[in-house]
Amino acid sequence: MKLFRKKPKKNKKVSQLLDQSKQISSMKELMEYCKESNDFVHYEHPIKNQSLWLSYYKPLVEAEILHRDILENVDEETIHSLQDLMESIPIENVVITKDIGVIHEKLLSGHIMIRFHERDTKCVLVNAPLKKTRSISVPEVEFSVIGPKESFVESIGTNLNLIRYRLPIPELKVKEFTVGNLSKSKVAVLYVDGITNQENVNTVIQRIEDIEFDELIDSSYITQIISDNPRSLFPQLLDTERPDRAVSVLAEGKIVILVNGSPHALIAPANLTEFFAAFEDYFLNPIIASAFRIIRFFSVVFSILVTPIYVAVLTYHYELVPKDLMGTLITSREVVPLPPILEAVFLELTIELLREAGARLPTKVGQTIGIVGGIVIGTASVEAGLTSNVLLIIVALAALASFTTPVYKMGNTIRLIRFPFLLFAYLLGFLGVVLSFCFLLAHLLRLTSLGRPFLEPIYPPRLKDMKDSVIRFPFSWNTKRPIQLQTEKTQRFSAKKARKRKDIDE
Amino acid sequence: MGKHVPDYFKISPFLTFFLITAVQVGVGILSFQSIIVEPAGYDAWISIIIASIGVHILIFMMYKILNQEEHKDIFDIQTMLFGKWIGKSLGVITCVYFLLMSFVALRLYIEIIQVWMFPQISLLVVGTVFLLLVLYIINGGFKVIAGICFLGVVIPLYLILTLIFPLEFAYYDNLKPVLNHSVIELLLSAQKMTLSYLGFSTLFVYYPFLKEPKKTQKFAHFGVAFTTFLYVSTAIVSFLFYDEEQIKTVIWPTLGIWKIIEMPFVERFEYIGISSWTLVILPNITLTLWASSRGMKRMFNVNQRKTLIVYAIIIITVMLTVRGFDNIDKISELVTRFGFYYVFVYIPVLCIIHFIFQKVRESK
Amino acid sequence: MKKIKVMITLCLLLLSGCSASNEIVDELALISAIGFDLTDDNKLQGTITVPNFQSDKTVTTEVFTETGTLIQEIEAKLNSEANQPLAIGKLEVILYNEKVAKQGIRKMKDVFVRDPSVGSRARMAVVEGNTKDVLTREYWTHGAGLYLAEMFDQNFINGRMPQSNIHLFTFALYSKGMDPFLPLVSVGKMVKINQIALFKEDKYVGKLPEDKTFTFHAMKDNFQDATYMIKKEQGEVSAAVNNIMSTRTVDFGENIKDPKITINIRLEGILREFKTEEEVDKQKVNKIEKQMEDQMEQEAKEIIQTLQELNVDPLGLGNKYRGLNRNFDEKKWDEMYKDLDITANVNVIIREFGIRR
Repeated sequence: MKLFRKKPKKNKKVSQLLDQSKQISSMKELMEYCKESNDFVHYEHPIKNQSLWLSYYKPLVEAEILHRDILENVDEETIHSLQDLMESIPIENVVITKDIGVIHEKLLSGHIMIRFHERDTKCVLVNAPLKKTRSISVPEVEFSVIGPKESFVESIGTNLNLIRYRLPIPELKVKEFTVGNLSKSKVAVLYVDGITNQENVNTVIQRIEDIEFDELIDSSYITQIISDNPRSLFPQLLDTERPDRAVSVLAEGKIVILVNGSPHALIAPANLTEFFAAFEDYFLNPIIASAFRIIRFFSVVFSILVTPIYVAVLTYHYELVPKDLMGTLITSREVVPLPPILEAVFLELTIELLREAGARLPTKVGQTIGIVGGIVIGTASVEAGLTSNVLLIIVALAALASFTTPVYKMGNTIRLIRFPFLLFAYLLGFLGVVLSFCFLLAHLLRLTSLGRPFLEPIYPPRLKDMKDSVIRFPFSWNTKRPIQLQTEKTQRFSAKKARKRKDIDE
Repeated sequence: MGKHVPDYFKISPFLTFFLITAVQVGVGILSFQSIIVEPAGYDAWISIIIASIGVHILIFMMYKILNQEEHKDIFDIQTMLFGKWIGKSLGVITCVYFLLMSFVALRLYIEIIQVWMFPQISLLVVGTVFLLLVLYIINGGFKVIAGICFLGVVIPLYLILTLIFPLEFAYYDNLKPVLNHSVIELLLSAQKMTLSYLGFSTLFVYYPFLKEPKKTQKFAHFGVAFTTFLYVSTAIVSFLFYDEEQIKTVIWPTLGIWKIIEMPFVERFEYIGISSWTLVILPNITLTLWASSRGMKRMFNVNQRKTLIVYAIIIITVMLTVRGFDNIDKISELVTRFGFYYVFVYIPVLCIIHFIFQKVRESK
Repeated sequence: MKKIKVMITLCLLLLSGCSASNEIVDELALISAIGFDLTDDNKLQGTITVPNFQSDKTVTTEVFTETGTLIQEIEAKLNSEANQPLAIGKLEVILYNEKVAKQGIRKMKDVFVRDPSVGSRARMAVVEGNTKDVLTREYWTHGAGLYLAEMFDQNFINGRMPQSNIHLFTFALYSKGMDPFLPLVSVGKMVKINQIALFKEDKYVGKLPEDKTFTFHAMKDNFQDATYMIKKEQGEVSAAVNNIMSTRTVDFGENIKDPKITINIRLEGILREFKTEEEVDKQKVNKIEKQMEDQMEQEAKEIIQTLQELNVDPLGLGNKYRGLNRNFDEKKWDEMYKDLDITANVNVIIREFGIRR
C-alpha cells in the first residue's frame, strides 16, 4: 500500500519486534520464554507407567476437551511413542513436529503440546481451542421489519457458516489469509467461482496480501487500507452485518470479505446507489421499495442542500423569496443578531453534538439526550433569539433526512459534506452551492471501487444496471448481473420463463 | 509520436452524443437570440437549422478524415500531411484556439455573474475556484471529463421545463409571416449562428479515446441535432415572448425569460438558472482546456499536468489584465471569428488535402 | 506535502477574498412600491413604501418621499433617510401620476428594466391623482405594496382587467403594431383599479372609463372567470352574467390590401342574478343574451371610436395585420389605422342559469 511504502523506516522496526520468536531456537528457550507469562501452563501429568508433559496457554484452551477427549483416552492406552499418542486422541489435525516456529504459533492459537519428557524436542500438538462467542443476534444497524433476523457475529467460523448454509454450492470459494503482525487476524475472501470476475478477486487478494499492519481489529480497517482512494470521505466498500445481504451480493458476482473479530462483512466492488438501498427493499413490493428509495435519495439531496440554500438565499438572493413567505422569514430573523451563516453553523453543530452525545452514552441515557436537546435547546435558542425558528425547522429536517441513509458510514459522510457546502454558500451564494456540488460530482466521478467506476450506473450510464439502483424493478426484470461487475456469467436466470405471460384464463 | 490510447481509458461510443452537445451549448444559448435576429428578424430560427446542417456536413468531413486514420488525432494528421514544421505550427494554433475558447467561456460566464448576481465579486476568487475545479476534473483523465460532459447535459436538462412558463405571455403573431426574409439575410443569420455551434472541433482531439470510433459518427450527428433542438426551442420561445425590436435591446434574452418565471416557492428563477449554468459551462471549459493541453502533450511530449497549471496561470493573468466589457467582447469576437474560419474553411481544406493524400498513398 | 501547502494557501486566498457584498434579507429595506408624482415646480417626486414586518405578524408601512430630477438621485436621497439600505429586488408595484405619464415614462421604466434585480412581473399603473395619496393609505394588516400587488393580481386573474406588467408594457412599447396601455387607478374613498390608460408610444393620451374595461378586455384577450353587468336603458343593472369564458378572433376580410376588420368575441357564461318579475325560461335567456350582445357591441363601437380618434392601437391589430401581410409598413399602417373599418361581433351563450328550475 502506498501509505506504508512511503515510510519504510517504521516498517523495519515493526518487523524486528515481531521476529523475536524466530530467535528462539530450542525447545528449552521456548519454554523459558513462554513461562514468563503466567497464564502459560506447563506441568507433568502422570499416567499408568509413565508421565506426559502438557503445555498450553490456559485462556486459549477448552478445559473440557482436554479432560474429556484427550486425557481420558490417553489414560486407557499403553503408549510408547508420539505416534501412538496421536492415534489415541480422537481429535482431527493432531500434528507431530519439532519446528519451534510452528509450535509457538500453534500454542498461541489454542493447541495443547504433549511430550513424554520435559527435554523432548518433538511433540504432539492437539487442537483444543476455547471458543467463547456471542450468540447470533438480531441485526441492529441494518434492522429490517420483515426478513431474516440473523446478523454476523465476531467469530469468522460462525459467519462462514451463516453464509455457507444459505449458499450450499461448491462454487463458493473461501480464501483465507492472516493479516496483522500482532493480531494475526484471519481474513477470508469469499466469491462464487464462475460468476465473479477473476480480475476483481485477484485485485482483492493482492491488496489484502499487501497489507502491512500490526493490529487489525475490525473489517473497517481493511476498508480504509484497501480502498482505491483512502483519502476520500466516501466509503468505497460496502459493509453489512446481514448474512442474507452478503449472500445476495455473492450471487450477483461481488466479493465478500470477512475478518475474524468483526461482525461486519465487506462487499466489493460497491457503487454509490447501493449505499442508499436498504436490504429490506428486496423484501417489499418493487413499487413500494422504489418509492422509498426515491424518498431516501431525495432526503439525501435535501439534507445536503437545504441549509446551504437557506444561507445563500438569506445572505444574497432575497429576490427569490416569495412575497408571502417574506414576512415569516423576516419576523423570525429580526431578533437574531447572528448572520445566517453563523446561525446555521451554530444549529448544525448543536445537532452534531446531540448525535455525538447520544452515540457515546448508554442507550437509556442517550434517549433522554435526544429529548433534552430537541426540545429544550431548540425552543430555548429560539426564544433567546440566537436562531430563527424557520432555520430550526430546516436544520432538524435536514438532520432527520440524513438519518434515512441505510448505511451508517454513508450517513456520516453526508453529514460532514454539508459544512463545505455551507461555507461556499456563504461566500458565493447559489453559485457557491452549485460549485461545491460540481466539486462533489467531480470527486464522485473520479472515485473507483476496485477499479470499477463508483458512480455507475449513473456514469458511465448503463441503463441495464439502472433496474436495481434508484428504482428497483421486479425480480423478473433483473435477469442479468450488473455490468459494473463484469461477471463471467451474466445471465442470472432465464428471462423468458420468468416473464412469460399467460393469456387470459389459460 | 506517442502510443495508442489503451482500451481502459476509452469511453463508450454513445457518449460522443454528450461530448458534442456539452461543448456546443454554453454561454451562447443565453444570448444568441438577439444576435441572430439582426439580419433575419424572426425568421432566424430557420437560420439555426441552416447552420446546423452546415455543422452536420463538417462533422461528416471530420469523420471522413478521422475514420481513415485510426488511432490518430488532428495533431498526428497535420504532421502527416504537412510535415513536421508546418504541422506543428498548425497544431500550436489549434491549441491556442482551444485555450482561448475555454478562456472566453469562463470569462463570459463570470461576466454574467458579475452583471446579474454579484457586481463586486473578485475575478481572482471566482476564476481560481473554477480553474481548481476544472483542473481537478481534468486530472481524473478523459473518462472523468466525459463524465462531466454527460452530467453537464443530463442534470441541467430540467431547465428545458423553464421554457414552458414564459408561454403565458407568448404572442403567437410574432412568428408570422414565416419566411419574410431573403435567403441572403437568412444565411447571414446562419453565419452568426454558427458561432454558437463551435467547439465540436474538439472531436479531432478526443477521437482516439472513443471505443469503436467508426460507430460514433451517428451519435455525433445526434448530438448536433439535439443541440439544434435546444437552440431552436429556446429561440422560438424567446421570439414568442419578446417583440422583435425589444429583443434587440436585450443582451441575454434567455435570462430575461427566466425573470418572468414565478413559482409558489421561488419568485425569481434567474438566480437559480444562472447558478445551475455552472454545470453547463463546466464541460465547455474542461473539454477545450483538455484538448489544448493534450495537443501540447502529443506534439512536444510535455507533462500534461504541468501544462495545465501553466494554462491556469495564463488564464488568470489574462483575466486580471484584460478588463472592461468592451475588451472582453473584442476577444470573444476574435475567437469566434477565428473559430468560424477554422471550422468552415480549414476543415474542408483539410478534408480535400487528406483526400488527395489518400489517393497518392493508394497509387503508390 | 507541497500539494497540501498549495491547497491551504488557495483556501486562505479564497477566504480573504471573501467575496460579494452581503444582502442579508432582514437587514434591508425592501421597497415594495414606488410612486412618481410631479411637484409644482415640475420636479419629479418619488414615494416609496417599505413594509415593516412586526413580530405579531402584522405589517406596518414606512413611507419615504423625496424630489429630484433623476430616479437615481431620488434613490440616493431616500437612502439617507432609511435606517437600512434600500433594496429594489422585491418591487411589486410602480405607480405613475397622470401628469408624469403624460410626459412620457420611457426613461422611468428603463431604470427598472435595466436593473437585473427588478422582476419582470412588477405591475405598472397610472394613478388619477396623487400616487403618494395611494401609497400612504392604511391597508389593514398588509403593507401598501403587498396590498396593491394582490389587488392587481386578483383583478387580472378574474378577468376584470387585462394583465399588465413591466414586461408587457415594454413589449407593447417596442412593438410596431401595438401601443401600450396600463391599468388606471382611481382614487376616491377607496382606491380602485377599474379604468384603462391608453398610451401613444410612452405618453399617456387618453383613457377608457370603468364600464368599457370588460369589453376592452374581451376585444384584446381570451380570459375566464369574469362577471358582466347587463343594463337597461336607464343605466340600471338588470342582470349579471358570471363565470364568463371569452375567446376572440380577429378577421381581416378578404382583401388584405384593404382590410375590413371584424373582432369576433364569443362569450360563454352563467346567469346568476337578474332583476325581473317573471320566471326565467329559455326565451327569457335568449333575450338576455341578445341584450348583452347589443350592449357589448355598442360599447365596442365606442371603444374603437376612442382608439381611432387617439390613433392608438392597444389591441395589437397592427401586429395581427403584419402577420398576414408580407409587406407590412409601420407608417402606412399608422395612417391607415384611423380610417379602418373595425367592427366587433359579439356572440353570447348562456350555458345555464343555476341549479333551480
